[in-house]
Amino acid sequence: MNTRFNTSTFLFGNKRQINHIDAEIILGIKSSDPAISEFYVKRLFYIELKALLTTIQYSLYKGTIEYDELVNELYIHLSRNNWDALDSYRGDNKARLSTWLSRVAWRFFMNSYRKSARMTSDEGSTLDCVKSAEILSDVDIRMDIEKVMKMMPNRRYAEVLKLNLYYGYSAEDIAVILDTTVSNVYNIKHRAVMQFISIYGQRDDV
Amino acid sequence: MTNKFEDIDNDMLSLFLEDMLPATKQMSITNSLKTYKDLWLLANMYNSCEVIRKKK
Repeated sequence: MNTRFNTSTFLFGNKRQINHIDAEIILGIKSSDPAISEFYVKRLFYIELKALLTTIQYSLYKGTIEYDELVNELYIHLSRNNWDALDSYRGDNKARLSTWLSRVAWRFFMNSYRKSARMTSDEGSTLDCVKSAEILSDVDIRMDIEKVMKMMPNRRYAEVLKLNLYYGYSAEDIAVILDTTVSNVYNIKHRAVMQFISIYGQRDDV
Repeated sequence: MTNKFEDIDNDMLSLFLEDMLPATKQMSITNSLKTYKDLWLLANMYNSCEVIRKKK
């Protein structure tokens, strides 16, 4: 089956700069030919997004949900109205479809995770259940973050992140606490986040 | 500067994840993080993209 498209013949609009591989995937998925559409759907979910969905499967759901279930959920979300969601992807400055979908998928599954936690609690019909389910996911995230923070070589970076993101101190308050300027706090926070992200990706248990 | 992580638009965040955003705009994203959840979400998105990039 020849499923390849000459993407240069398709117009994505003046403001869209979509990579030809991503354009081929989008056009293939939206194809009116079911065989072609299925081919590109499988390519998107089982090749292009394999690493992303596997990370979500084990990082967010701790492996308690099957890969195919994640695919099914995201497929339903993205395929509404003939894949209208993909029209939001513009490919500005050569950003790839998989990068854009990484954000979409993480947000989608985070919201879905929160909703399912709430629903499970509602079935228990006590306020305590609702609270414990919501606290559970917050605790998971806090433990995950603090584990990485302990690995950060710059303790000042970890301290700023904790003061700002956990205790909710403003940059102005932190500047007073650390006896520095507000703009320096913003600089430290930026470097701290970048260091955190880097270490987060190097953990052995990821 | 954007106030909330949720308000960062798709294009800006995509460029951040691809390491293609100017430093000042990168700062506007990192400084928009208000909670541990925001940081956790960004770290996961960023590292998912890293894994995808390495596999390509």
